[in-house]
Amino acid sequence: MRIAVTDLDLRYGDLLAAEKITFDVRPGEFVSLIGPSGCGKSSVLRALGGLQPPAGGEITVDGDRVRGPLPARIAYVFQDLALFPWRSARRNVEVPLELRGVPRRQRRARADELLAKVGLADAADQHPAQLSGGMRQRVAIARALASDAGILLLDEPFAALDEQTRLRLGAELLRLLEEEGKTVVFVTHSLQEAAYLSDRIVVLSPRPATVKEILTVPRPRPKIGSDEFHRLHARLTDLLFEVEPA
Amino acid sequence: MKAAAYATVTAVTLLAWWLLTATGATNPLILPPLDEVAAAVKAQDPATWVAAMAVTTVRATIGFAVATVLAVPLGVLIGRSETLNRAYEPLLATIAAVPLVVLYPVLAATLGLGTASKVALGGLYAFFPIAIATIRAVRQTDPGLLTAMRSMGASRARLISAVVVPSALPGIVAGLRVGFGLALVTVIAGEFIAGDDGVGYQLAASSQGYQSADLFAWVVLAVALTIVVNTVFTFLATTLERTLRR
Repeated sequence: MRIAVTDLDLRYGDLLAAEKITFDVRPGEFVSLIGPSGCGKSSVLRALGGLQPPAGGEITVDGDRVRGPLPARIAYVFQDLALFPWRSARRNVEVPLELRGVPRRQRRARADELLAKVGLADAADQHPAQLSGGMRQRVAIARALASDAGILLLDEPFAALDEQTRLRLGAELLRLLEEEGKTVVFVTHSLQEAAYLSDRIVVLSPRPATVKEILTVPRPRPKIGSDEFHRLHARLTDLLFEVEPA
Repeated sequence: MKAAAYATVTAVTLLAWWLLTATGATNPLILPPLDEVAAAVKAQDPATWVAAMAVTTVRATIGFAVATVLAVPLGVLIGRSETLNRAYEPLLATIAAVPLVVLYPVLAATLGLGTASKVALGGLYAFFPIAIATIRAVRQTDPGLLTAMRSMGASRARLISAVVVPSALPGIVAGLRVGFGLALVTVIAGEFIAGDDGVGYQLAASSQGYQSADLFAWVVLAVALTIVVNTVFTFLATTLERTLRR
């Protein structure tokens, strides 16, 4: 699954949220979008998911123009997770399968399998309110995986978690998504998260968002705490806090 | 706990009743002694009170059912549309505050003194709280859940059935409860004003004949009817929520 974003402009009424955004995401790649808070990075993600129509330019997935949600190819994990509070964890994971018309028994089996994969086999009957933040996060990821889409869009999925949980979940998520061969676009405001999860990092400017730079993370990914990790982190910090030339 | 609370209130009420009547503090025409009421309840022909309650319950239920079938879809429609909501919600709230029972003579003149005018009055009273509760509950739907459902490929109809309705259901059920209560009260009021059957008519007949013991016997029976009807309603509402919110 390849995503190509070309000269993307996004507008909310008179407000220009993003301007001439161009980048691509190669199959199986993990690309992070980072930028100052309120810069429009979530808007870019919404546009990729077909939830926000572009004011200019275009987005294609495997050559097809994105005009609305493409549930068979793109799954979304939202910042607030958007779990249905009246459904159990299992029934939340079943939603994409229901929408595809998968029969009840197969739905249930697949949901249980995915919950086991994210380490929640014993929480299938719990409702979101009964789960911790980290567990809810896992349910949301399991639900995104249930769609069988090749592309996952993640909008600051760990924003509400404490740092330890965030690091642990991030590492788990990375392993899981690599195993599943997913193509990932990940919005975050955490430089650390971007640095240790990504193959490439798209750095956006303050609003209106423009692409400031696209950094490639060396392989194998630098370990947290290594000199290389610090260099990357410092480079990101420089890019984000750079004073705009007058 | 609940049983103890009910038992306490019942015991205190009966004790106060007994004290007031046994000490001669009240006029027996206004508050007849307990044993006279008990005797009057026993003296009633079961066929008479079963028939009266059946007539009243059926009228209230039909009025309530018609109101529900009209008010819930209308409430969903208005609640989902910003324009319709701005136009109609205040109007409905205003009409709901009008004592519509003043229309009963008009209803009786057009529909007759029998069942039709009572059903119409009950239905009219049930309609507004149900419509208003539905509108407000629908408007409380978390937009994030709608976006998430849309990103997973749900149709418009599916957004309503899988997100809006389950999310609004507790609010709608609260409206249904108020609506049913009002339908029951107003059917009895209609029967009280005019007609020759139902609980309201029996209350009116014994009150006009200064048969206090009989009147209180009918009050006791009306309370019993309310308890039974409420229990059935709660059972049905719980079943509905279990079915639609899973």
